[in-house]
Amino acid sequence: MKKAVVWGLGAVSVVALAVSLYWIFVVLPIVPREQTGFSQKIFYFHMPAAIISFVAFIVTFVASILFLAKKDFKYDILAYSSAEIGLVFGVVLMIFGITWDKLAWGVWWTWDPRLVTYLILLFLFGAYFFLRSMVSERMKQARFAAVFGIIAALDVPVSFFSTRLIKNVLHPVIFSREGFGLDMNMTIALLLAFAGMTALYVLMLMLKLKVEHMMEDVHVLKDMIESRRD
Amino acid sequence: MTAIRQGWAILRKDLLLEMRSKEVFTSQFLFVVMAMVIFYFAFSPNIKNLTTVGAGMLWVAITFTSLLGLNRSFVHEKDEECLDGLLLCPVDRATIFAAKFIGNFFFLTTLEVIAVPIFAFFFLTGTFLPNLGWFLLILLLGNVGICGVGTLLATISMNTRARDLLLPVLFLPVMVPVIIPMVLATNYIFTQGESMSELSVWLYTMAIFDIMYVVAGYVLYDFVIGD
Repeated sequence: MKKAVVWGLGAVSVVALAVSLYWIFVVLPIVPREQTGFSQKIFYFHMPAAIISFVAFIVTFVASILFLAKKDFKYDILAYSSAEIGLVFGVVLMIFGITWDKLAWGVWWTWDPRLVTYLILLFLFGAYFFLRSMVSERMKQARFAAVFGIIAALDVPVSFFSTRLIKNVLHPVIFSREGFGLDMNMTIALLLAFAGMTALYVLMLMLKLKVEHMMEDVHVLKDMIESRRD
Repeated sequence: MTAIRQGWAILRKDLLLEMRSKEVFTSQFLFVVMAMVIFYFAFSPNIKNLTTVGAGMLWVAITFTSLLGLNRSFVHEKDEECLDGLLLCPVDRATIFAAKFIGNFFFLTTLEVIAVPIFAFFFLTGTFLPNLGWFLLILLLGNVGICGVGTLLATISMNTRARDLLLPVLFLPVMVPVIIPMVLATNYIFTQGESMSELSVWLYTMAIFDIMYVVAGYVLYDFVIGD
């Protein structure tokens, strides 16, 4: 059953992303220069990557709380696996964003509220993994990481709402109470890319969890062998 | 009442220790004054009116100085095995957090009582004095945020291999949502000097984060203290 799910997610991801690429580069026209021209097409991958990285960090937050409540290592494994994939999506997102910035406005970096708060979020989750590497004992590592994961994830709403609270040019609010700021073709492209990236995130998380659970089993077996040797 | 007495016993221990040795206060005071001097040389070639960068300088100096105090508040506990003794006592871990938080807050505030007038003497023109009450409120809120999350993170970092090296890595990104409104609000007071109506957004933001961080520290402290 699980193999079917993995292959199914892989297929959904490949198909959705391939169709979204076709839609973005063939179906959608190039927007006017005032709306950043050809580089605007980065948006259809940029925004889903952002949403998915936020979701990944929220999964870390929830898993951290569950670990502290239940002391079950499967929640710790879920927390750091999701944080790692969220970090990967985050770095990809920053590369997309910086590239779009340079192509559209000629500068690599501006101190836009969303850019700054998101960079801080990436630093927080980088610090999360640095903290994990500084603790050898497994239970202590998991406890400390869970506590810091909860604190770090408090920055997710800060980053998400930064564009709604502070007016800025780079990240206009698209989805609001007044409705969508996109037409039907753009919405289809966005939804296809979003579906593909979500399937990719879930697939990566499932594979990562499988590998990490196997690693945990290997550590347990190693400990058993070493204790028998003694 | 028992928790208050226990908390007071822990706080009193820290206060007595510091009053006798004055290690933390002396090093923090020298650090913050030297930082101000270095900021002068860093900014003065390009900026004639240093009031415009005063808010940033002040909060950078205070934030980095607080790291010294936060680290120190746990180093001697760990080295002298006082922490083990504390954990053997029937004290609620949250009470230890509250006592440590109040101790750190007291030390940081004491430092600012001396350092902030020196800062104002070096860099400010005095036009902010009519809004001194607002400025003190910002200092208070900033100190609560720094000490609230700093106490929790200092406890985590002291129990790792990296010890005091890890605290800045954890503390500085977490503090950014508090530092940004702190600097904006302080800058507004230093440079505007008249209507304070725009301060409320920043003060509310700082207050919300302070509450979140102190509550998170109080609730989560049980999981980070001890082995």
